[in-house]
Amino acid sequence: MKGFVSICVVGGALLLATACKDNAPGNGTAPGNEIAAGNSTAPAKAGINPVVDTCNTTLPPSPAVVTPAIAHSGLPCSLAFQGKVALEPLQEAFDFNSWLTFVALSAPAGGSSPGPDAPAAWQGWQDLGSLMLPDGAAPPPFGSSVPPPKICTGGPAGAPVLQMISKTPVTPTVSVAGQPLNTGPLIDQNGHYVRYQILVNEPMYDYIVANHLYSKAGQQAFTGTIAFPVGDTKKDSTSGTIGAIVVKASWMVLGPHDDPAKFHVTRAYVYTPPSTGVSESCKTETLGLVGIHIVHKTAGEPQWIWSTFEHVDNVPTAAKAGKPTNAAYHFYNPSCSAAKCPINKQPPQPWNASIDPFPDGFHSQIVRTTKYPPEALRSAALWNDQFQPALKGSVLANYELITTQWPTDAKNPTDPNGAPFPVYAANATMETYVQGNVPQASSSCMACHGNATTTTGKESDFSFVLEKAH
Amino acid sequence: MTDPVAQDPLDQFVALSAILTGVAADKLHPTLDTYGTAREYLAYATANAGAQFAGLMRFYAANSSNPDVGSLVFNNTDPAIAYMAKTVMLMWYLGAWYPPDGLQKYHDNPQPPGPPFLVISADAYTQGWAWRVGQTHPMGYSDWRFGYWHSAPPPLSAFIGA
Repeated sequence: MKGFVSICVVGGALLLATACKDNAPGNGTAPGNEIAAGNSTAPAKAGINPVVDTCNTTLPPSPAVVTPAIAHSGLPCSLAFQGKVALEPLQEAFDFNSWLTFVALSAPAGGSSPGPDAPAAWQGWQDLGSLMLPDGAAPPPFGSSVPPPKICTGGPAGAPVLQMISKTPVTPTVSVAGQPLNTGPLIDQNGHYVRYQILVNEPMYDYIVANHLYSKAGQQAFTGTIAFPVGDTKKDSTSGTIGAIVVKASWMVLGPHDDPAKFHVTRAYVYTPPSTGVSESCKTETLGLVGIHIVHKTAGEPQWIWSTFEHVDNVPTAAKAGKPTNAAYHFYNPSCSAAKCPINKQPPQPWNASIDPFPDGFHSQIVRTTKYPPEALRSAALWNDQFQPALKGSVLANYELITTQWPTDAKNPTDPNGAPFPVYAANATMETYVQGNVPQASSSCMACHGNATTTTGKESDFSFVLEKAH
Repeated sequence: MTDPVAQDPLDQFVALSAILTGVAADKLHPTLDTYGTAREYLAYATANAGAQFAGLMRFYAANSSNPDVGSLVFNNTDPAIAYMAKTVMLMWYLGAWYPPDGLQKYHDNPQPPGPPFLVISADAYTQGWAWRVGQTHPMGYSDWRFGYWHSAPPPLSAFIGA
């Protein structure tokens, strides 16, 4: 479509994307439109974040009618927006951008539109476990993985190894864990642990490798400011750069009563490494995608754009708990009383993922409790109601956008997080136990990731990936 | 000239609040108001001090073009207006609701433990302007980066816009 503009919103003013490039973000790092790496002392690697001519510049349609052609129109390099600078139209633009991004990245790596379920493009990215290797070894070429543990055999060639059971490093069963939030594992209605995966796209991988940020030693030697490459679109053009994107995925082992046709699925090794009191185990399983975060750094949003989707059958909202609309959910049993199945309660310890299913018939009883402002609720509903029918015939129609968190004031001099909106955001499968609306205690993507650092304590540009270096 | 009485109640409340606090109106209620604090406070004051709050707003509407309107409000001989104004100011600064009659009683007899109050919400606590006027952050909550104390904070104008 023609007539788009990309924006950065600065103090309520609308700026063209090209005007954003010279502006340092609130956290003091230079977003730039770096083709080169950000280390002032390291030689730039040519080709990091290369220019592409495929940026999707489709504006949110008005009236809001999404056709299959729009739904499959491709990956935006940055936000396309034209209209009044106010919360609701901007939220709608960001949510529309989230849906376009989700659909585009769900297409097979070849780029064709998703139809029958197939491995998504993002599944070919670099998995955290193959990026931050023991002893700080250099990672393999982009998109390749290290060999699976010896115990994992019989799976399809290149099967991913899913071992994270939580977004917390508190359990010894997790050798590659995620977040600084003291959350616990999520147990589905079949009694299986939900497994997690973190992957980075090629511009982000190249930036990390070019600057040797995959090791503690490399991070100690790094003297510059960490600034991952940004997505950007040239004015009146489909030319631009993709920028850094991170995907976090949550997967559920499918049981006999789960219909694989309703999920984006993968065949993977479900691996539990050995530790004290925990036996090493590995099974080849079919898993269904139940949640996904897509995090995209763009020129106008140096605090990144945080999109989060879930399977529509995951959980009821808190308001609907007790009178749910579904007969069954992946993480909620409508027929179980609150006394027997306390809501949003962590599983009893110990969390030993090699014991599967979870002992004593435990399964998580989860409801969505984060309250979103009306602008965000209306916008998510607007686009879910449009994209899901437009994706009929694809498993993607069974997913819903929960929300998109974005910086309303990227250059705010007193808030390095750029005044996020909505203030709180949570995926029920990933921030399960920190849902809510309590400052510092409840999940906010940007408020949390703004604290991310490398292993040396240096700010790491809203990504916790670098702190996993050895 | 715009008739102040015809103004949107939220705009009018923000305009009065800017005078009572010394914080710029577009800081109290930015175009992209992520917390919706102004709307929350307007609703809270209306619900908890309806007639008295309406009286304050009427007085402000009738005198908004007077450059001394702040003094006229705070030093009003009608205690219902003067203490309501103090309540609104404290609401913005401390994120807490101090009932105007409690403030008046404490003024008349300033004995411990001080006037009663109620923190309006968890977000109201972190959004209190007392922190930002002090160029700092609330106890227990900060968006600033580790080691921020090593550097001088941004200038006061960056916080309050005035």
